[in-house]
Amino acid sequence: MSERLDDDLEGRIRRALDEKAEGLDAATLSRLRQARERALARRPGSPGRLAWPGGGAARWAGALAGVALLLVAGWTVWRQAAGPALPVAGDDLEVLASAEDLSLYQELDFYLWLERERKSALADEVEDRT
Amino acid sequence: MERFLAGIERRALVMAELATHDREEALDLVQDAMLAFASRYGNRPREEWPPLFHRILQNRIRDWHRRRQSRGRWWGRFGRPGRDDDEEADPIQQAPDPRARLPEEALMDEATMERLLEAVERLPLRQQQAFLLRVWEGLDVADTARAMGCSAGSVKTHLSRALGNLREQLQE
Repeated sequence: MSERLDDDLEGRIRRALDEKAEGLDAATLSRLRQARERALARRPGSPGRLAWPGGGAARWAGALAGVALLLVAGWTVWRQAAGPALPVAGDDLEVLASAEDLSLYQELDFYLWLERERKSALADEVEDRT
Repeated sequence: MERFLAGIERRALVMAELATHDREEALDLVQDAMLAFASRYGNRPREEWPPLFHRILQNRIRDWHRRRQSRGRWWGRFGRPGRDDDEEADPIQQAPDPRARLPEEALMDEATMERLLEAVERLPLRQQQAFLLRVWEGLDVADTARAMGCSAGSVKTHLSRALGNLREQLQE
């Protein structure tokens, strides 16, 4: 009797559940459809998803290449920070090796102008005398 | 894949709603399960889909319950009695009332659809999962065990308790 009762009980509950599922309102069904469409767009190889030609192997190769690139970039930055200074260009080296005061180079235009003025004043003076 | 999801989505929503008592939460859980299923298992053989999908959905439902329980503990609130997983029920409370009508009679003329669904809703979560997956979704014991993440023996125990619990509720 218990088995028959269980069958009857199961059958009734199954029908009640079916009716509930069939009686869902339009708004809920619409949201379910949207959820399904979003899920389908996430499928591997679907048009909405970035496809990796070659599948998983290509993806791993891409990831490894990315890691290698990061390592090289990091190593380069570290070398620049910890290693010797970069070679200095010829003109700069001349300036640095010069015994002259650095301010002379920084205000070179001013000193050139001063020299031109001095020569011009001398020329005027000579002209006045003659 | 689309046909599979379209065929399962309504039942998945009802299952999630029975477990959460909340349509919005249920919709979120089903959407989450669909997204995870499609992105991870779309390439698996078709016959593996039902247990895989239900495994994801049932895990989401269990996680949701755990979050609710920990939040309930934090705020000093507790869930509805009987919702925790398969705690041993008081045998005196579970014993049939000798004055009550036979369960068969009660089912024949009293049980409405609403009462039946409420009885399922009141089942402890694991019993509810076992009942819905085996009886409604039609998964066999092995696939139900895969979906629930437990042994086949546990599925049988949960299902047996669920049927006893439902009989008990519906004869009141």
